Amino acid sequence: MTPAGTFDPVAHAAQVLALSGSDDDLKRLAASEALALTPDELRVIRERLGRDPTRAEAHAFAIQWSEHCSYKSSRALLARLPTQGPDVVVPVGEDAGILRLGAIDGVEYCAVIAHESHNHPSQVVPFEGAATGVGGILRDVLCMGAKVVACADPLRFGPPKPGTHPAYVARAAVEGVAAYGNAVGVPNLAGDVYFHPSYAENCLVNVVAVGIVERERILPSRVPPGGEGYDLVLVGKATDASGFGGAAFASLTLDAAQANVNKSAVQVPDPFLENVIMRASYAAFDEIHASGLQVGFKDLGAGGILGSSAELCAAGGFGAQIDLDAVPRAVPNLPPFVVALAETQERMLWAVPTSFTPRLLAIYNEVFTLPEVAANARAAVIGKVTRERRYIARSGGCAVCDLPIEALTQAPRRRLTLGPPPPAPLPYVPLHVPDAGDALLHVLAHPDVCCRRPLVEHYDTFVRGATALPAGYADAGVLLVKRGARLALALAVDGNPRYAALDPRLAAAHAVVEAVRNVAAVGAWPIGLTDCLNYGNPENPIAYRALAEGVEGLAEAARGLTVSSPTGLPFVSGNVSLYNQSASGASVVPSAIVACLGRIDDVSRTVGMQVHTAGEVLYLVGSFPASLGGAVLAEVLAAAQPGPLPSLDYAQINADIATVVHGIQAGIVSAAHDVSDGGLLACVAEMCFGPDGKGAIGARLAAPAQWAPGVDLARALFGESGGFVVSVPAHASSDFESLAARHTAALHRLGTTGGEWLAIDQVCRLRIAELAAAWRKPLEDLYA
Amino acid sequence: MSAARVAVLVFPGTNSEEETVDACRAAGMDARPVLWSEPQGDLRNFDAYVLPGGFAHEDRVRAGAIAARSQSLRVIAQEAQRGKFVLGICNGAQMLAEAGLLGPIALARNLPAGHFQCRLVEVELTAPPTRCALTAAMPAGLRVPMAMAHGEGRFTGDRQTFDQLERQGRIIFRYVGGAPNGSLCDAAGVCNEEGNILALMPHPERVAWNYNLAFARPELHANPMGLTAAHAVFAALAAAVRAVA
Repeated sequence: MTPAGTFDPVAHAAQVLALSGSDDDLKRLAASEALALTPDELRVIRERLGRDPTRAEAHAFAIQWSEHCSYKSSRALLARLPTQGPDVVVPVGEDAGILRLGAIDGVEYCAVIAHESHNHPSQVVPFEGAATGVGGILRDVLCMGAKVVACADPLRFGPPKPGTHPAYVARAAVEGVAAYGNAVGVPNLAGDVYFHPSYAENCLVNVVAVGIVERERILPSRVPPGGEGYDLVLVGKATDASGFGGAAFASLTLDAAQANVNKSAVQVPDPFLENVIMRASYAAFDEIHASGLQVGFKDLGAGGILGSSAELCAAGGFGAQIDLDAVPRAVPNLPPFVVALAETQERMLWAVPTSFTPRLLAIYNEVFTLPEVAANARAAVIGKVTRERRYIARSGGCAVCDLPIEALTQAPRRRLTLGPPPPAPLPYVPLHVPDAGDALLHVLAHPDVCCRRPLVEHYDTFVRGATALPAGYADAGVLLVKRGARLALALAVDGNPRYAALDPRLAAAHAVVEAVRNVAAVGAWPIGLTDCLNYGNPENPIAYRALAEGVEGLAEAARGLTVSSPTGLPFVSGNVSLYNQSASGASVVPSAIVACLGRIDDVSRTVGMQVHTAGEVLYLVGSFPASLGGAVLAEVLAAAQPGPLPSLDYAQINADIATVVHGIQAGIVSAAHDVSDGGLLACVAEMCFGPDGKGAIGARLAAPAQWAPGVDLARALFGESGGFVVSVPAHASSDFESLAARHTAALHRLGTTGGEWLAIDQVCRLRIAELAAAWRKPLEDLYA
Repeated sequence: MSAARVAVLVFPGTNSEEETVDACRAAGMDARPVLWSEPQGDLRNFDAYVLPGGFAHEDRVRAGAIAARSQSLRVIAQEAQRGKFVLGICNGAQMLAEAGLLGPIALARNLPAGHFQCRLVEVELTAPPTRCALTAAMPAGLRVPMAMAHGEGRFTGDRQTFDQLERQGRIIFRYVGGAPNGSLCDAAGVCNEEGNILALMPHPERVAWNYNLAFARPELHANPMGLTAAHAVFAALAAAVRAVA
């Protein structure tokens, strides 16, 4: 018996919460218990259980039914996305998606890819928030049985005016991404950064990770058939209270006054421990494969031990019995429901046959000495897989949680109100460009266009020795699937906030098209996509409408891009991050961020963006947009009426992509770059001075009237999202022109490479060195 | 003659063991990773040691400081006294400095950046190749691309020490065009007095194959699996072991 007056954590966890009364009563209860559940959701809990829940159970529901875990607001919309295709091995639904890459020496290799956000934590404590975002996504890939080989980081910040919080966030988040990935030894392969005022109080830190796995070694994130009686083995950091309620936190809006309170919901990163856990897990994979065992393996993410064990067991059609007292802890006297739900980082959960348990414990605890690597870190048996589909968690001899497991893992869907469609932008009024050279210098110095080297240099891009095109050296990063074999993969990310602000549907479609073009620009065939949907509060009909439009745009583009497969491109992994708004109520611009994975059969047939030879022919493969909506030039010149976003003609885009990829693979294209932020002239300038700004081969373009007849100068030189510029050796130009004709690509011969100027006949002429200087400067101070 | 047996040491936090082992093997050496939990006495059975990159023991205290005081470093130091070869790369170089095997020099935080920097660099073999056994098989003045990836790679110490390093010809590799991390004398690689221990800050193993460098030198696409000039570091280590066998 506990003496009167002292805190009894078990009794506290097992106390029954009465879920009856009016909406106001239930709102008050939810607020006083810090449960992110609506009155209706509380009533569903009571209905499903046929009784009132314990405090521990109520918290379990709050986390498992958060948007982060359950997709309760977005699931109906997400069903619109295409998810199947010839290369899909594991579709959406597990911790990461898996795509077939190809065979090396008769062994089939697959890419594992996952995409997440860590937006709210990164706004509050940017270094830790971004670092733990990386750590989590690496574990999502690891738990599929894969070797983790790359990460990528799409970042969105407020304008980084020196001395402001957005500038601090923009710097510290990059350092957090770097600190984690560098220490673990996973190269940063791709990423992007955009600045937009709507992110000033709510940054976006998305993370993508890629792994490589032999097809026959894929591990499921569920207990396998016959798994009754399996041990549940928790691996990693000792559990503490950090991140308690993290998933629920991600589903709250940010309020500056609450920031300090919310800090307790942010997890603490330990990349050093993750490094050792990864290597120990690789050793476990080898032994599991050699002995032919069937196992389940899952990352601990949202909802901690409870969330992962419930999902691991429920997905296999089983139940679980968890002994919370067996969980290794970092601090004494943690209430059992905190042990069950804390989001302590660097933890994984295995379901293994009892016969293998001693060996699994030895791998982590003795061979890789986890207890010596971090205080009380270890592998420990914490429960059993049961046939009865109940989720039972015990502490101090008391079942603090005893539920039908599906009640927990199947959240009720929310009914949300769709607002009206966003207003259509006014039509384009041709923009006068008084001085194209001056405009180009301003465009190149725009924060969304300028040199990223000062940022990218924080990231290790060469570790593992498999990198063929490092981050920042081309539109996509490329790495070998296996050192010594020519099969390679390409990765790129995209999602343009200037577009998003204008048209959420078309902007999302452009994100897909741009990510795919990026991968094509290095000579890869796109094979699959991931998405992270970063939107505002779905209870706001306008924000919900933006989400719906965004998903529609993604689906339309993925289905339309049939260049690799007649069924289009599948989404194999993704994440929804809602409630991205500040206390003042302003949502971030509707930000669909997309990653594209590509396949390259022969790594020697890849190209970067830089022109290496004078005397080559430059072509535009693509077309000129009918407007300047969302274009950097429109912002630079403060255009009164830039018009709508460029429209998308998928048949044309497929033809252009096929031409570029075939041209690169045939060895007749020596450099390629997609025409995106800043438009065609910025694209050619970047090809001349190259990714580090040190290139010295110029270009001379014919008068625009010759290659863009009838197109106004602003659209011809600065119009965006029109396709690719490629450099082709003169002797191969007729071959390339016939290739383009065969594919019915839109081809425009622009001019030739050479000299030290970027010259456009009858328009302007600037020294490459001057252009490079303007382009290199803007981010130097922020990331120096 | 059997291949040189090379131990690539793995400490908790090491992250470059795989590609380092591969680079050694591509030079014909019999290399394998040796985990920190393995019996350290077995280390004596190897002909040479490579301390690879990473963040051993989380770089607590200082980069390389804890690993430098490990039993395995003691064994390696003893074996080096008997003339065996030791190559430390990045974090491995930091361990060698912390263990005092290079004399009174340190690897300090990069200046002026003050943070981790990753970039492709070029280093030059500026010492007579035979000054260090590990470069004896390389041509004088060889320029080698390598991957710099560190936050604490600035070779530093007092003036007399560096004057002495210069006199003794122990600054084996220097950054071409100046050190991006503020290293004294532009040092990228320094050997011990006996010339059988080499501490190299930039990574040769990460750009050891032509496909790693073809993005900067497209002509390397012609033979993507060929070995780069950076791989000469491993070939020269193999040659050094052969020379004493």
